[in-house]
Amino acid sequence: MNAGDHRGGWRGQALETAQDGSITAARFEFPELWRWGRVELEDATGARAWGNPFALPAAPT
Amino acid sequence: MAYACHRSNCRATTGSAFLPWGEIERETFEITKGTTSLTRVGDAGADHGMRGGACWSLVAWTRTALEGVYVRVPYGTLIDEPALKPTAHMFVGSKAPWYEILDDLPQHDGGRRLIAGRAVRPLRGSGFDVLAVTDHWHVTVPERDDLVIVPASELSCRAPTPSGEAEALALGVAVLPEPREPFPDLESMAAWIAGRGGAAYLCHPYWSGLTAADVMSAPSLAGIEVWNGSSELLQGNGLSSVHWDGALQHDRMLFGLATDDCHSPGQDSGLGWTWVFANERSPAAVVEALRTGSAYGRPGRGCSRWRSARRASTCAAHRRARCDSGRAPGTAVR
Repeated sequence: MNAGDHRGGWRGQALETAQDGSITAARFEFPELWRWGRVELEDATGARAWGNPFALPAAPT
Repeated sequence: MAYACHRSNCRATTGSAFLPWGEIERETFEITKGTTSLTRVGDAGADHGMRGGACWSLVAWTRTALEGVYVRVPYGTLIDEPALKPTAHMFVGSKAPWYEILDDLPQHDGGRRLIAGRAVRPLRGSGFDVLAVTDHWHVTVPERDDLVIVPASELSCRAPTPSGEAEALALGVAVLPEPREPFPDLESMAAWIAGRGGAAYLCHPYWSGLTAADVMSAPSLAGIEVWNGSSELLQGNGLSSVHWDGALQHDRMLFGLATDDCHSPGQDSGLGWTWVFANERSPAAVVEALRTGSAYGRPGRGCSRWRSARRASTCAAHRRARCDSGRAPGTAVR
C-alpha cells in the first residue's frame, strides 16, 4: 500500500490516514493461493520495520 | 587484521603488558632500507622473526596459513600511525594481572570465547535490553547482569556462494561444535544449532550470494537476517527480503530479524534492531521468542509507532524487550 502521490496498491485499501497523508490503517486482500503473509512498514522518512510471517486461512474449497 | 595480544609469550617477547600487531600479506610487505641491520630469528624457509641487530627490537615475523604467508608487524615499531587499529584484545586469559584494559575493544580469552563486558560497554545506555554477541566461532561470556546477554556465536558451513561459505547465528547455544570447522552444508549447521535448543538464523543471505533455494534447503533454520546493517553500510546488500519472500512463496515459513553485524561499536552499531516479545527478561525467554518468531526487526531506531497486527492482542501481556544482535569487533559483537 502506498501513501502520498502513489496512493493505493494492488488488492489493498487505505482505511485511515493521518494528517500528513501516511496510512494508519489498511486492508489487504491476500490472493487465495498465498499461505503466508507478512507486514512491512515504511514511514515518510524511509524507516522500515519487518513483521514476522503469519499463516493465512486456507481458501474455501 | 590487527589485535592486541596479551599472551604470555607475546608479553615476554616485547617486555610489555601486551603486543599490538597488524598483519598483511607477505607480498605487500617490503623492507626499503636497513636490511643489513636486521637479524633473522629462525629458518628463512619457515616462519621466522626479524629483529633489529643492535636494539634487538622485534620488527616483524611471518605466519604461514593455508591460503598464504603473512607478515605481522608489532605496532610499537611503527613511526607512522597505522591505518588499521587493533580491533580486539586477544588471549586476555593470559593478561598480566597488574594491567587493566581500559578501552572498549572486545576481549577474547584465548579459548574462543568472547568476554562480553568490554565489548558491549559502548552499547550500554543506548536502549538495548538484550544483546547477542555472535563472533565467528566464539561463544559469548556474559560478565554482568544489567544487560541480558544471549549466549551465541556465528558458525559457518560450506555453501554454493562466491566465498564458498555461509554463516548462521547460533542464538542461545553456549558451546561450539567439535571439530571447529565449517559444516558440510546449511542444514547440518542449522540442525546442530536447533538440536541444542538454539535458534538458527541465516546471516546476510544477499551479502553471501545465497538464493531462496539455498535457504529452503535448510529446514532447521528458524529464520534469516532480513536486514544486516553492516552489509548495507558497506556494500548496499543488507536487505534480504527477496530471499524471505521467495521461501514463503514456496511454503517455507521463516522468521526474520534485523542485526547490526557491528564490527566497530559506536561506528556501525545501532543499524539493526530486533524487538522481542518475551515472557520474561532472560536469555532463555528471548531465544524462545526468536525461535517462535515473536519478534520484529527494523533498521535503526525509527518507526516507533510500529505495532504488529498479529501481536497487538498479546503485546500487553508480554514483557517487551529490545534485542540487538550486534556483532562485535574484529569479528565480533554481532
